Amino acid sequence: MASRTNDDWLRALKRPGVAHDQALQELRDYLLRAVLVYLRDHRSDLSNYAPADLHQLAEDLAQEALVSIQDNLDTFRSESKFTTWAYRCVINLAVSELRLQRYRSFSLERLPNQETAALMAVIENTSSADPERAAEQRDFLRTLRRIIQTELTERQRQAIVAVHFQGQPMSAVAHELNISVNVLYKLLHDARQKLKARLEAAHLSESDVLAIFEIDW
Amino acid sequence: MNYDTFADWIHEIYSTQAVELDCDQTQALLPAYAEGRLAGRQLDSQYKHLQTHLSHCSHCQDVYQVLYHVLELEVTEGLPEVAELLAAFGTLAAVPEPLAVAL
Repeated sequence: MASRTNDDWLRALKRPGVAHDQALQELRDYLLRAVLVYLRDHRSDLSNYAPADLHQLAEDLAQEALVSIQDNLDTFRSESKFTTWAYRCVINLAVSELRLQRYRSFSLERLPNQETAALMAVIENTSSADPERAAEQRDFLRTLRRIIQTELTERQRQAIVAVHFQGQPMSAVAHELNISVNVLYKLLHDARQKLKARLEAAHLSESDVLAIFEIDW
Repeated sequence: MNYDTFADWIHEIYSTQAVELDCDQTQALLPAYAEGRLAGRQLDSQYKHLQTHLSHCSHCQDVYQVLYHVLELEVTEGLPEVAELLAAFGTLAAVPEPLAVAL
């Protein structure tokens, strides 16, 4: 397979003709191989799928990415190799789609007031042998819970519980909230900012919290 | 939530910056960043905001890890051909059922 420069790729993909079709075929092959490497080396949980199903899955992802890449050629800024940019597109798609499939039974409706249970679990798991320290830990968690319940929006609470407390993939949570992963990140960022501001207003610095929980970074 | 997860989350809260890159901005930078890392370039100051985002965002972190792995394979031994990759799945699927369950 001849190696193309970025300009070669762009010229071939933007102009209809034989060169265009060859470039598309070549790019499709690159994308397919990147997806198959992802499936082989990062998704051992799919090893019970039939090889034909995995092949089809990889073909579908490569095809979808190919269409997306063609539609977004003008956003490529040549800051990397064209193929690296294309790999990023197909890998992002594959990570999103496959996490979503795996967690499709996940539902935010089953998460009412989960922050309380999650924080209580931390108390049970930590509770220092020192009664004074244990009391400080409980006080901090109560403060944190109150801030979560009174200062954050319902969607911010749902996002925090699902992503941080339950460890759900962001693509699955974003799908449940009917927003993009990018918007979910902004939702979580706003929530973190509020929590940080309220904790600092309560004179609880990071070093205070680390000391209370005897966390050694 | 276990203790380690809680500790990580607390660190995330306090390391929050007023302005952070979002996922779209991060992903636009990822290809050049991954190539630079693979080439052993010192990128910490140039990509500080990207690294902050990766520390907060499991999705972009996953994409970065896979992209780096693919590029590393490409540079070291070349991306395997499709037939070779599909053959690997055949081998995985050929593991006898009881053994797979025992694992």
